Amino acid sequence: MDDIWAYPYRLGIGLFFVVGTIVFMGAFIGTSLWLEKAFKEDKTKK
Amino acid sequence: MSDQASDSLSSSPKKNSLAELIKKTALKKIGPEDTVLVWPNLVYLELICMMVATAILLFLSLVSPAPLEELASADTTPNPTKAPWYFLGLQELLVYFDPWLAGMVLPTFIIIGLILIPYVDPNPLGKGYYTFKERKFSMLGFGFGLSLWWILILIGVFFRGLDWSWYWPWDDPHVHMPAGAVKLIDLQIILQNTLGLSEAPLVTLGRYAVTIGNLITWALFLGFYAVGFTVPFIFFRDFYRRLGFVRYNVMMFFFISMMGVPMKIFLRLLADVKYVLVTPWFKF
Repeated sequence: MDDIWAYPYRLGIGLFFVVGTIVFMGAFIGTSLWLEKAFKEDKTKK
Repeated sequence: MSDQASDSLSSSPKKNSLAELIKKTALKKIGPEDTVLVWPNLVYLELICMMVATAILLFLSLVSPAPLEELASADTTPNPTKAPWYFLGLQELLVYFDPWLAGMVLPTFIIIGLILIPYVDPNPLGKGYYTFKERKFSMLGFGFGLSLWWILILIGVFFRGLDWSWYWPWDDPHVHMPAGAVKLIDLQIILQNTLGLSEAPLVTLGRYAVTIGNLITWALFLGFYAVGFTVPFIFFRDFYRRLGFVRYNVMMFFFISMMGVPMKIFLRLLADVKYVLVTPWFKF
């Protein structure tokens, strides 16, 4: 188990995928929540 | 538009036909007090955005030369050969999927899936304003797909080096990674070796030799879709009822296929699975 971080970097790449997805999703959802809040009083909203 | 023409349009039974395809989502009445004018409110803003974008592009083109290299030569092909950044997600998919899938089928699914979104979406909320709380499933589903796409591009741009091997930023980009460090095996071979199954084909259909291992991979592949279709139908019946039979199946097919992409990527990364399902005609 010493070489779990060695090439071909299986664990590292797997973690990269998971963390990357969480970061991107956080950014997207965070932006949409922020926009929802920022435009809450928008007159075009039904 | 004259009043007469306007009246004939408004009395036409087909006026909202696209929207009314989706049950209970006929266009809401929006009064003048809820709207703004296209000109000047929208177009003026668009003009300003266009001028700012043009100014930024002009500035960038002046200070940052295009990364053109010398004339191409068959004697000195670059290693690695990278597509433009916006295609690197597709190029990165080639690591994990058969070229026919990564280059043709998956991009086609993405495009058709995006086109179908307005036709399978039963949620009338969120038109004309920003909202997450009213469209959680749509936002999470779309956000997941978009995240996956961006991560693949990010990997292609920053983490692929010589021989398309993975290079962290702290790795020396001029040293080749060890050849043969990754030995990929088809899932049916892994199953044969692990479970001690016979390699002899049960049936031979032309050039297709069907072994027990191959049948199990078929069962796993079809089972993945079967579970994906069935679980929401059983546990989220309201979700199924709101969509209806056709829209539910169309939507779930694309959703399950999208979820299958990262699953195959993880099988390739963590278990060295080359292809989950192998036939003479396609490999997945």
